[in-house]
Amino acid sequence: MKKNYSILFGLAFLILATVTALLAPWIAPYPYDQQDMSAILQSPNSDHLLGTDSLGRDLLSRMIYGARVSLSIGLSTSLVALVIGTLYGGIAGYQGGWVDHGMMRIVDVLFAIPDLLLIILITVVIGRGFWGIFLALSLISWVGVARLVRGEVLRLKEMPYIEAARGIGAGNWRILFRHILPGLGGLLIVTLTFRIPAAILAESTLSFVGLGLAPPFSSWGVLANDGWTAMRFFPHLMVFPGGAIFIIVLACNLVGDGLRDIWEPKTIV
Amino acid sequence: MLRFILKRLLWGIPVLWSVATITFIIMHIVPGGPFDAEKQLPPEIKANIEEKYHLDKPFLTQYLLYMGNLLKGDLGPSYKYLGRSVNDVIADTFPVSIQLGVIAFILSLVLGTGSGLLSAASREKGIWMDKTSMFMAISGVSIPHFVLAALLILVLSQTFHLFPPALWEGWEYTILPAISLAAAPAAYMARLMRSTLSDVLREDYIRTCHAKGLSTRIILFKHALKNAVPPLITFSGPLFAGLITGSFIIEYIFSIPGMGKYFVTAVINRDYPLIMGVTLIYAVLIVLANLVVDLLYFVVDPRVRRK
Repeated sequence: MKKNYSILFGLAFLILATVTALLAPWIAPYPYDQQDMSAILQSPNSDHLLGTDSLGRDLLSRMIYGARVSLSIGLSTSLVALVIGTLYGGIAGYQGGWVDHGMMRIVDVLFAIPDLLLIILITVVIGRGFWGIFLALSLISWVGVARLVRGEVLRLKEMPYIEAARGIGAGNWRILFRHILPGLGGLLIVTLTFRIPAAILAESTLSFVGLGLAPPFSSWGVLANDGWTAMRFFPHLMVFPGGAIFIIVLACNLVGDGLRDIWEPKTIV
Repeated sequence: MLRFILKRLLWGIPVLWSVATITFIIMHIVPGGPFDAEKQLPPEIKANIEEKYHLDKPFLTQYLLYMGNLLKGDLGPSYKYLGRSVNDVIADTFPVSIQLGVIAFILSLVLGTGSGLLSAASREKGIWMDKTSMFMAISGVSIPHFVLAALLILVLSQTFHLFPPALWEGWEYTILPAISLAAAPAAYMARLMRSTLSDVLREDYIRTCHAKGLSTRIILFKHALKNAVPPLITFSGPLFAGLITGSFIIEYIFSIPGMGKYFVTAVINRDYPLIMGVTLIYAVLIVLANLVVDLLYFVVDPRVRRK
């Protein structure tokens, strides 16, 4: 394996961001909700490294706390989508026949309903808190994973080693969980590294247009939305949170790219 | 061939029916209705309105009424845009989204395949070209389109005054939204193109071409490219359907009166018929796009034709 600088760079940034998010209360220079009316809408300066917003809140502190929300939404929804998608796609692909046919037609229908509709309706029922967004994003993103996993399972189950396992009398569940699932490992990890940035993007986009997390949560998307309204005169309010989203997503994608090159699941680009 | 098309079109009917039914059910399960405004309406007026739109009838009756009208091609009245039918709203907004979507689609196709090709072709000779274009591509898939749109507005319209920052009044208004829309799919296509093309370039028949003494350009364009096209087609179909139905975010940022913007407003307002209308158009387009994808496979890949 040749040295892969993009993985290193990506991982380094992800670790940095995670540590920052975890240690937010100790790292952030100000409390995220502390208003200072004597210092509103400041450009970056020595007191406020990234400037302040229209209520005099320190942007850097708000971004450090925002990292918690953005990262945890990205990680948790991707994991849930991965689990549901793997089970669904795995069962469909392994069973084959009419079970597979029926399950995949359901996926077709879900694919044809606009994501945004489902997201908005789910958040109307559950509310636009962390859990609402978490559930909405998890529920829409397993579908793609299911398709990928099904394709891979279809390929794997024809492999000689599966036939061998069946030959010595292994049951269906045993074959599925002990023999096929481990074979999916590389594909799943790579899928995860690409799902996380997609989820972060989706959350920030929703929050940006005011359909995502409601206050008092402040994800990077919420901050970018705040900044957007004042962008004309105070571009830093938009540029910093937007830049943060860009860099974290870039870092995830770099890691994903690197891992894909190592394991080479050809199905994901 | 004709049988295949007919079969697929027929299969589209249950898909559309399921999409319509599921959407209809979800909309009605979700608490709150189209006329629960912040300002409480007097009960008699609310009752009258609900009677007019048959909202007082049992759920099943509403469903059958809607489906009956749908078969006649009538998408019903809009609850929020008074006096306008959903057909009218869509007729006004869909062309805008189509126009923007088509431009963005062409832009992403040209940019994506172009840079993917360049990068795969220059992998041996000019590493830096491959590296640069792949760095651009990974940045392209990583930048949220609202951030890109904001940056474009900030730089190209506020600082250099090259393009208008918003509205929809002529060709110069299409540039910034089209770039913002096209960046991510273009970047994705570039990556797709590069990875499939470099796989193809490792195949035996390409080595044969080299051995025959063909020039790199002919090998690339005449022999390798053909085999790199199918994955691109698979990606392009749904992309096209998505782009022409309109992106809410981009239409919101640039104040473009397209269908995407109306759709989200409709969901927030619970304008049931408008939500149904746009969802169904999207579903029809997805079904058609997937059919076209399969047909294009027939055209570009003789191996598929033989099966």
